[in-house]
Amino acid sequence: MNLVSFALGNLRRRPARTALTLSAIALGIAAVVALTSIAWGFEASWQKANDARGTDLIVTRMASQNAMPSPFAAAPVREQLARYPHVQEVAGLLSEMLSVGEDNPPIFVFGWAYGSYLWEHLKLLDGRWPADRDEPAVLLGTLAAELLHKGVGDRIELEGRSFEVVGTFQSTALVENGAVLMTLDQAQAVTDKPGKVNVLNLKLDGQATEADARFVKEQVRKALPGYAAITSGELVSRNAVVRIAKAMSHVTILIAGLVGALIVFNTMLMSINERTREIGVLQALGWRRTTIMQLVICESLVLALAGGLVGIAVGVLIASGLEQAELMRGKIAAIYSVPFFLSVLGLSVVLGVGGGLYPAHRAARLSPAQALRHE
Amino acid sequence: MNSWRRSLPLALALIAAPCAAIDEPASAAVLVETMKQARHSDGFEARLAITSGAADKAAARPVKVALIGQITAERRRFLVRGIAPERIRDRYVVAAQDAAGRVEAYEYGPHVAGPVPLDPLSRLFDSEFVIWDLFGAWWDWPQQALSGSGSVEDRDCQWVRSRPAVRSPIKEVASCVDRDRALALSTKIYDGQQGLLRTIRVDKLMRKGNGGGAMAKKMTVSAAHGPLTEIEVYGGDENYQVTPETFDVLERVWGR
Amino acid sequence: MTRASAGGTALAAEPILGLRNVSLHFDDGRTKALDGVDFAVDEGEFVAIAGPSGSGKSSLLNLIGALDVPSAGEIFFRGAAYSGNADLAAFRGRHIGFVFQSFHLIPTLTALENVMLPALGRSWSAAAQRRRAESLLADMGLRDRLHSSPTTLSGGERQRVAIARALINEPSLILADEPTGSLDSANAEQVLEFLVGLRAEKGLTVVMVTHDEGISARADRVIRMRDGRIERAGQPA
Repeated sequence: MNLVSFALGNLRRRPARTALTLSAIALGIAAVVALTSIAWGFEASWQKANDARGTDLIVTRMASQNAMPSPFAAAPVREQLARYPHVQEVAGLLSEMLSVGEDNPPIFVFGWAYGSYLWEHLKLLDGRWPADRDEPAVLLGTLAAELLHKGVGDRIELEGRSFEVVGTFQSTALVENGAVLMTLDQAQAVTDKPGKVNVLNLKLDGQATEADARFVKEQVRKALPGYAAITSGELVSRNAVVRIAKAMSHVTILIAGLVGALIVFNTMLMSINERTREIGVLQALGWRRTTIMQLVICESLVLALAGGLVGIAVGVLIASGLEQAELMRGKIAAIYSVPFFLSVLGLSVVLGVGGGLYPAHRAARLSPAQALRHE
Repeated sequence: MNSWRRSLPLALALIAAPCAAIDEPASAAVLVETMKQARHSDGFEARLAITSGAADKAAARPVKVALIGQITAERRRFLVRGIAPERIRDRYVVAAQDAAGRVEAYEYGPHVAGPVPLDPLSRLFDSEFVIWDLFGAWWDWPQQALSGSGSVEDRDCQWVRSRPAVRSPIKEVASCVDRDRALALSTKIYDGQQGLLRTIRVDKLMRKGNGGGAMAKKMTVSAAHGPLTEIEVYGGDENYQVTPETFDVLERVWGR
Repeated sequence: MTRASAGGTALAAEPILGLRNVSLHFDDGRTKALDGVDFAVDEGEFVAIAGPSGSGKSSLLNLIGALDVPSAGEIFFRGAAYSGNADLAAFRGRHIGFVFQSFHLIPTLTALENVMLPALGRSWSAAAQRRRAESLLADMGLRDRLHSSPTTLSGGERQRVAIARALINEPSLILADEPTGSLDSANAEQVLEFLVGLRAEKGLTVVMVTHDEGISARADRVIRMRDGRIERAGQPA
């Protein structure tokens, strides 16, 4: 027998209370795990989409707080950008969330400049690419094809226009796998935004260094008021949805931490009050105050850590449930890592120790004679 | 130079003081002017999902339309294009306000032979969506009076009552204006018998892309006789390029 | 100092326990649980503290056991005052074994684990603790109840487990507070035999609170308390 097994025995004595406390902590931790993993996954997925395309810099309208940068007329900006040194290619992109037909939830529709480098990173699984920039044709990402139950040869309706599915593709970025892809010209036509793009993707040549990229950023800042050249990471971190998701995860961590610590605090205080005489006995048997504190902290730690472990499992389940939900499929992929799980367990330890500290102190401060008289 | 630097803040404070004094409470004229300014647009497009019959929301299929608008000192006009479902595809309604403040509307498309006049106060797509409401004609009416403060969806606003001078089927419009956002959060439209025709309430806001002010993302129009219509903006372009072709049907009708 | 010399091994010069003018007050001195108590106990003595309830017996035992601190006076252990000692817990663990009327065993632990409880967190090896606890329980006639829960044991068995627990840290002073108070006469006699045997076999000093004249008669010496003072000390009647 050791202190830990004694602590476990004490927790087993009140199974209902222990289970309730554990569930409450587990729920809080589960919320932290689910929200944080999704927030990170969301960010990473967007960044991956840009990285996979081989884009070095993205030019977009500034002050854009919406999920997607607001559209702007591409031609004058593109001309300006093409003049900068080391700029190999400028490719326009237009994207919007649109419903396919009447019954499906909105889905990402991407329009990419026909013949641009953007298309190169995709793997064609079936069918073919659009024949020219004006062909009313779309390709479906693997997930989009599954969600829409459509394949090569089928037709889909977008904003009252009919398109033929000419191919399906796979991308390393989840966002693209869940999207409908067409040429930029078609996307502009279907959304009635002739000549407009959300972003211009810049690809620099092989000789370009980071200093060259910085130079281009600086030039855009000077020569194109209202526009900014940013890296994909910067674009994603500016994205309102990513920001909200991250803020929510931070708030959840804070609330779950506070509530968890309070729950541990309350449970341990109740337990200490019930066991006052027993603590007196332990003191009479020669237990030092530090040993009694260790026992109480050990119990609260066991509670919090067990709650943390259950919470991680439940959180992963919630996150994967959300990933599979009809509305969310293809838009989020939770990201987990060993350091993340260790941090969550670290949070559990903090709330276990934090919640157990005062009850432990109170238990240790009991006068043994009074504690023994306690009914 | 130095004395300038010292006196500039003072000068600004002196100018600002009277402004601050009239700011609280704002006069009706100031408020109305703010609303007129905020409505200005060289061109915008909004994609709307219009859902009628709130009683059975799940079963109700939204009607999708594109709304193109232009509100400048010279021109005030709107174009509605049906997108989905099939029965309204490429059905157009075009409307404009003339110098006298009168709104004229026409419909055209594959379902009618040529542009035919349409009552601008008529309900479109079997919903409570009325093209006359878009013009905000009441902001030009001569009688404007503040009538207390209110609150819509927990947002504070100032009620303004507008009455026309000339004969009009609409005899009064009451708007509750969020001054900071320059947006009417609730608009009540009354007919000649002081009967409430419908109420337009803003449920959700979104920020304008240029950072100034807000626009409605979701609205509910409730008719006095019962039915509810939800109008949600699901896409669009705040800087839509209006071309000569956009309103050419209107030009042709007026040119006749 | 009232000091009645008693039998056997008590010839050593230094008494194991000495109380000098010890008082214990509550409520800012309005209640006097103990008032100027003086006595000494020799090494290996079996002393009974008797008296009606409220006479201060248990308060006296708490002070001797370092569970409480006297309001005035000094308590000595082998000549050294310990009443002001900072680490009373260590003192209790090292020198004193407690036996309570209502046993105070932990219900979630087995008999063996209960016996090992005082040694928890000490530097002894777990195996050594366990061997010692097993041997103590065997001495108490509980060899086949090592892994039983206290809830399945009889009152007498529970008290024997508690005695084994009191002995695990090899104390020199056993303090028993009405150890037979919750037992029937047969079990009470058996427990008493064990306590008397501790003195005979291990040379331990036993101080026992009791209100049972029959039990106090088995002690070397009886200290009778009344209203927080020693009424009489001497050989059992």
